[in-house]
Amino acid sequence: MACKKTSCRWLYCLGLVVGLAGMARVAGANEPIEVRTTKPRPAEVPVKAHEETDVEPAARIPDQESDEDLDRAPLPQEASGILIERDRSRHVWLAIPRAMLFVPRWALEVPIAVSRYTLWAYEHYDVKDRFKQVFFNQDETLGLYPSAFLETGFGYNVGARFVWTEFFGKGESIRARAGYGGRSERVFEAKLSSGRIFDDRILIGTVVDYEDSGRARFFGIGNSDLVTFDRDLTPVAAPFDETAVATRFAREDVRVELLVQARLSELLAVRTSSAFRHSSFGRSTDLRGDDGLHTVYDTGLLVGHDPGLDSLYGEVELACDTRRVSYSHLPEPVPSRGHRIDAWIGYQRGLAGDPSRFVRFGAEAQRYFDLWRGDRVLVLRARFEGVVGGLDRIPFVDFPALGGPYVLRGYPRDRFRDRHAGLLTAEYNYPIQHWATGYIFAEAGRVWRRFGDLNLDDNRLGFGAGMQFSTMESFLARLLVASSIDGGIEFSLSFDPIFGARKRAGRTQ
Amino acid sequence: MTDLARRHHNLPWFSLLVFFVTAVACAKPGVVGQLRYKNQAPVWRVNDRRDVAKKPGEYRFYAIRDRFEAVVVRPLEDALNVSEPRRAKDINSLGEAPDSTWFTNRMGLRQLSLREVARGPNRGDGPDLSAPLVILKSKGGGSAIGFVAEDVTGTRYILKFDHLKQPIIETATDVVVQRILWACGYNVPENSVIYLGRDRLAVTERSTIRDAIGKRPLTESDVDEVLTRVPGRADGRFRVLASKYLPGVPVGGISPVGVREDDVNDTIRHEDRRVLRGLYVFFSWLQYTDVKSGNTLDMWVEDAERPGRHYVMHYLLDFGKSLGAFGPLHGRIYDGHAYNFDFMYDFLSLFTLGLWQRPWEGTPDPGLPGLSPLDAEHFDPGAWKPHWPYSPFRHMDEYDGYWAAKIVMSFTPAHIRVAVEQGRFDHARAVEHLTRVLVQRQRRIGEYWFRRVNPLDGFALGEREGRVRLCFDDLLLRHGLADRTSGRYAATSFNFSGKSLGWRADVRPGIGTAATGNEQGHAYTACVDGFSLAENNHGYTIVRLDTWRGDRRLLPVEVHIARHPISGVARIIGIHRR
Repeated sequence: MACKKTSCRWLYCLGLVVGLAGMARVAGANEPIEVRTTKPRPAEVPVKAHEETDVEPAARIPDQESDEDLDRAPLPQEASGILIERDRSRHVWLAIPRAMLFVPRWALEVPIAVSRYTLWAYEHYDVKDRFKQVFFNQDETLGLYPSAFLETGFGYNVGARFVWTEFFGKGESIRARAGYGGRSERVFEAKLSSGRIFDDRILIGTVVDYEDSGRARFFGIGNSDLVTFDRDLTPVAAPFDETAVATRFAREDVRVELLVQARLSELLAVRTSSAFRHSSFGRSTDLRGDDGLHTVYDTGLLVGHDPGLDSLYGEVELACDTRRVSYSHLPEPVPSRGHRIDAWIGYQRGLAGDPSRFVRFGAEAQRYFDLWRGDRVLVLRARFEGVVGGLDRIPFVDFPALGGPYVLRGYPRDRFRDRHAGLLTAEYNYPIQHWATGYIFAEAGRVWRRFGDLNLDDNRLGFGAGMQFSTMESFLARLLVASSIDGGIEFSLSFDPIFGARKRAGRTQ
Repeated sequence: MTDLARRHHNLPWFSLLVFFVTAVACAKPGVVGQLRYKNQAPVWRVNDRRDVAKKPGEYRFYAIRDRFEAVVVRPLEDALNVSEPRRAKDINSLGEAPDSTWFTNRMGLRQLSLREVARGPNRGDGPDLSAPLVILKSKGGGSAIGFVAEDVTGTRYILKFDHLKQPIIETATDVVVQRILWACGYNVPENSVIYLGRDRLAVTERSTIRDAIGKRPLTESDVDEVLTRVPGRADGRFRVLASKYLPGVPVGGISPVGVREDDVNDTIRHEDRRVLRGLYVFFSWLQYTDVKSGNTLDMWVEDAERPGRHYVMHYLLDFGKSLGAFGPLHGRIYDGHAYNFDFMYDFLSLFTLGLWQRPWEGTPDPGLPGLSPLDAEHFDPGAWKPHWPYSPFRHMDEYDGYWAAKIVMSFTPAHIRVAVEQGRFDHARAVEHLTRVLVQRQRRIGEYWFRRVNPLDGFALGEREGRVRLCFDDLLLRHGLADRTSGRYAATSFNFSGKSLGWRADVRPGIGTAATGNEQGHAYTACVDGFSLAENNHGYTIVRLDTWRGDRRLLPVEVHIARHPISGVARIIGIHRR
């Protein structure tokens, strides 16, 4: 006897009674149809040994059945032929955890239901398409739509964007945006791009923008460590005194830029850009724990601070880009190998009372090493930028600068400025998903006053990690968490590729 | 933890603990379970064609909501409900899926000829090209470029073109996979690869196109413009996948869970259907990762034999991105290895800084036109994943996998080759390569799933002078997936109430007991004989077959035997795998 327990015997007895009753019913009322035919097997299927004997295989199925057969066939839920189910009573004690989880189970129903029906409504009512219908024309080439995003450390930016593309069907576009909050108090920008109107190899663009920022940062001029400003002292005489204090100031910029870019070959491109810029500076009313620039620095010595700047800038840049992916399944914005070399030279001259008069030059070389399978990539970058001109001819916002999400990450934006800035980067990219790439990096750099002082002492070192998001064809965003040997943690979300071309005309980094 | 358990990682840990404890406590050798079958022949066809007089409502595929449900809601609910695994419900007493509107037994139980596999479901050779195809509209849905067109006979087809940078892949893949899935037993549309010249495409005033501007009349220049975005051939023609419109009225896709409330024939929850759970194995074989209800279609059809009666037929669609095509087409080289959002892989990838070689890395690109990176070395049949979790796959068990693996293993290399040839690859080497890869993956599937259960099958019964003889195959041995000396079996018999009949036999494959005379038999077949059926309950007897693979004892298979109530002939009425 397999089971000697009394309860088991009862179950067996019960099963026997039920089974006998069931079989009696089966035998009497539901006479099964006897099937005798089997379909011949094709020659390539081996014949089983017992097919040559007198045994009957269990799995014999009819070739064709009539509709009458179909009508007599059992319903799907009756196909199992089970008379007595398996005993599941041994799992009854699962009721204990079920009872314990009853409350959290039903408590979760509410947020799940809300999420479920929100997503359902989003798709059912085509909210995305309706959004486009409201804010775009039918072919989605003309639109005016709201925008909102969060800039870490600066707060929310809300505004609106306008886009008009393909009016000649050649990829040309007019784009404009207006925003409030975030890094800029107010920003208005309009861009015109020629697309492929002239030629696939020539691109002409123009940008007009206005930006009012109430909390731009200034840390003095030089490579010094940050200090706390003693209000009893006299103001710092930058650029002659390299004391670095975290300060903020307000600035207003109007900029008009013209860009012409020509692709000379598959690898070589030349870009000329020129810009007019009007800038005025004032006191920040949103210091966020920093000092005001006017209380720390002698603004009379900061070239261009008073009464402001009106300048013209022209630049020529040559770029050679051989970067590519090793395999076609890898996203193009994350190259595996090759190099990019940029060199540029430009000249800025002030108008009216603006004393600006200097030459800007620089070069950047990037090299990509495919370490493994095309997606473990080491990127090395060397960058140097300088200005040539008298200290009284270089506006304080136009010194080459380091710090921020693109150069010398790990330090605040524009943390270091001076006549010359040098930077070395080592970054390692590795795959996470086809749309996400991880990276870790270390960067060393510093600024110098005179070219002859160039040395590797007192280098600043930043390091960190992050993720880059992209489609197969285009870059989307970069998330960065960085720090430095001087402490502090910097977060940023940037929407421009770090190793792409930088625009300088009319801009201060 | 096994691969299967890993795949079902959302199974609550305490459920696993419960099963372990109960399995240890209740695993007494020499007993049979309480499951009993009706004394009737196994059901090979079910009636799910009862009249559905009113057209069922359309089941719409909501991509985001469905994925939220599959990724978040259902695993959470199952865990909090302490759900137990449950076996498939659309099976007969032998564990096979009867013919239905979902599935028709083809390979496996009914062997198909090479000619049948080559033809698949197709009744013809595609559209009649004796006159130009009239374009009715541009194709909607999906990423492939194409048209809906009508041939001279009035038959409608969806015409799909290859991607400009990846010629051949999508059209060839679609037809290869369509043929194989049809041979496995599923309903699929009639698809063919054809070659069209520009002069075989015509536009009429009925032709429309839906582009960024909206719906508008289609012009000849629109067709020319579309054709600039697809790969042309040296002879000026275009390679096209022609997919014939399915008969009936479309009523949306197959919901991954639940039933169609307005379909009287849809009585088994979809996550409990073996034919849907088993797709996991077929799809893993064919690297069909774009698993979603949007790639299925229910058609409300009129019964050809009984006009006026309607029912719902269930189809699988869109196979063009199988066989690894997501790699070259969309950069998803993890195809088949990870979900699109796979927290474990993403987490490990992020924090191992690329030092971890992920399972898909190193899959070689064959470098042949029309083929994608796909191999057997990087294929783990138990760890395979579609792009998004799919509820029937979450509920599948080793018995579903075994059922599907039997069908997969029933394909001979010649069957596979003839299906691959229908893709009309430009190079014979492509056919050779893909056939070889599919055969290798097929064997991996057999090896994996046949080791998850006790793989005794092909049961056959004979009786001579009151002595019964039971023969069976060991599928691992039959397919050469295990050492032929490694298996041995013990048979014991029980009556209806589970009481031992006092008979026991030990046997090895290819040898049989002394009385069987199986010496001439195949090395994978074993026979036990000399036992008598029980004297009551129509001779209801359960033969419990224990299998040892080396020193490892597998869970037993129980063969339920009873005499026909009228003829008295002994027959197998059920097979239960513990």
